[in-house]
Amino acid sequence: MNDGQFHSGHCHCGRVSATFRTTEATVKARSCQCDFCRRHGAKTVTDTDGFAEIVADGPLMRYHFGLMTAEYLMCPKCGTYVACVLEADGIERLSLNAAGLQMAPWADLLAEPVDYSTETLHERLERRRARWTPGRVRERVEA
Amino acid sequence: MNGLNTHAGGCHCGAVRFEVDLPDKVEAQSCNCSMCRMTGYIHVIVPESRFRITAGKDSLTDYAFNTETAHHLFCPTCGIKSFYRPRSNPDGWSVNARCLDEPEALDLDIEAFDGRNWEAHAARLAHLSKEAS
Repeated sequence: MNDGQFHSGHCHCGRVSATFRTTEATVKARSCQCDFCRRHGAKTVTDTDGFAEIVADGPLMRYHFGLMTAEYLMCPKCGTYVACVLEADGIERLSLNAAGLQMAPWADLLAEPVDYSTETLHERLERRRARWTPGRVRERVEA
Repeated sequence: MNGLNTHAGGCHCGAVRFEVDLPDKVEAQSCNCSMCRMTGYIHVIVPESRFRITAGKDSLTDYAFNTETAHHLFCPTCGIKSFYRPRSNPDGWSVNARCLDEPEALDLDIEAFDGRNWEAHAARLAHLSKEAS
């Protein structure tokens, strides 16, 4: 493993921030073509050997749909879609939205279009377990 | 309506719905400002009379920043910004082409708009929200 790289970003109003430590220099952004990601203009990044953290000042907006396997996290103040999270085998795994977080270098790069619409529930969970980034989501209690 | 057809769209969860009257060929803008880059927002700007919120109007969350002229409206359940009241066109609406039910039904001519230098360029969008006389 090399030294890796450290990336950071935040939503438009700054209430939600993210950090992403990657182990490889070649993480590529994906642009999922589902109705949700397309509307949000998402460009997602993951690294199964990296670490991702979301920190929010107060509670996040949480949304789920479809196969209901993961939660989509948005900033309640500015609406920015920041990440998707699921828990598998006791580990939280995240997929960060580099576009919403304006996380360099991916935010301004073209992302590879991907279509997961034909996946079964099992295939979806297996893909996310294998690819998504271990990490955590912290919602700070406002004083 | 002269050469206009009604197109419907909305957020992801279905709580927010709208209708917009558009010609078959539509001028649209892709903006590079801090807000639009986060969502790849594709602007279709229309006059007030060509846009209607058909569901969820009272539930929308309003986010304003900087000059607080623009009202960025998103669904409080799924976070989608289907349309908003733009600073460049406060007398009209900007619909997000990504949120149309059938975007392929339109011939979208998407041009780049330099929103990072908004003051220098906003005036050329003003005509898009003027009512037909």
